[in-house]
Amino acid sequence: MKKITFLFIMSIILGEYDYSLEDINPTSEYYGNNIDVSTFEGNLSLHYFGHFT
Amino acid sequence: MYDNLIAENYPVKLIGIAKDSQINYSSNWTNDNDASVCADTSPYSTWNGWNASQRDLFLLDKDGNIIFQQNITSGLPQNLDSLIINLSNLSIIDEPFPIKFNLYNAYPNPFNPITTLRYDLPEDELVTITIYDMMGRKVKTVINGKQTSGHKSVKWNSNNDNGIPVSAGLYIYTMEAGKFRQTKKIVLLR
Repeated sequence: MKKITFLFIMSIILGEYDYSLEDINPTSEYYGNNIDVSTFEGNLSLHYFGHFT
Repeated sequence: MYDNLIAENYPVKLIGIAKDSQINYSSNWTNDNDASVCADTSPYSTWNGWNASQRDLFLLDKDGNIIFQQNITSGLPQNLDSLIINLSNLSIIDEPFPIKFNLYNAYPNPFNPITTLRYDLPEDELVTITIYDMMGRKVKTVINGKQTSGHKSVKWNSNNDNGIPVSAGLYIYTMEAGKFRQTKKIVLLR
């Protein structure tokens, strides 16, 4: 519960355009790691909200 | 589209965010080029936080600010290459040529099942990169051959020389190129 509260507060502090999600593409170099916008700091990033099943 | 940007060394990273735990890789262009793919599960805080609709595309600059957003239901923008370049005032990255041999830390590390080993070659050289287990037994020869100079990388899929997945644990990788020799550690998780 504390963890959820912490994450909720952090999401407010960090703003709406962020996230922390696990990379599930086995061919990605970040596979298995949680990524967020800051992961790609110094790079442009294209975020595509694609199909869902 | 994305292929061209990567081929020309534009620092663009593609992230696909699916609104489910089971994204269909085969039909999704985010499966190309080692793109990151993430699953946003209920209550879909990422989709809701970004106020995203299906097939929305966001371009963020180097500081994480959104500089472009478009729904691409009707297909990918044909001019996205030039759009990205114009919006970001990017020029092709002119990476300095390596002036010394170097073996970088593997990424990701720990990993499962693929990690990337990066290294620099200031000159053409015979290069060998070998994986060993903690007993000193050779597990996999990742590279063994003459290579041209430049910034290099190679992936290891955690299979041994016989193509069999190795067990979880600590491994050592060693790079030899001319008189250069360097060793680093990696951890495989299963």
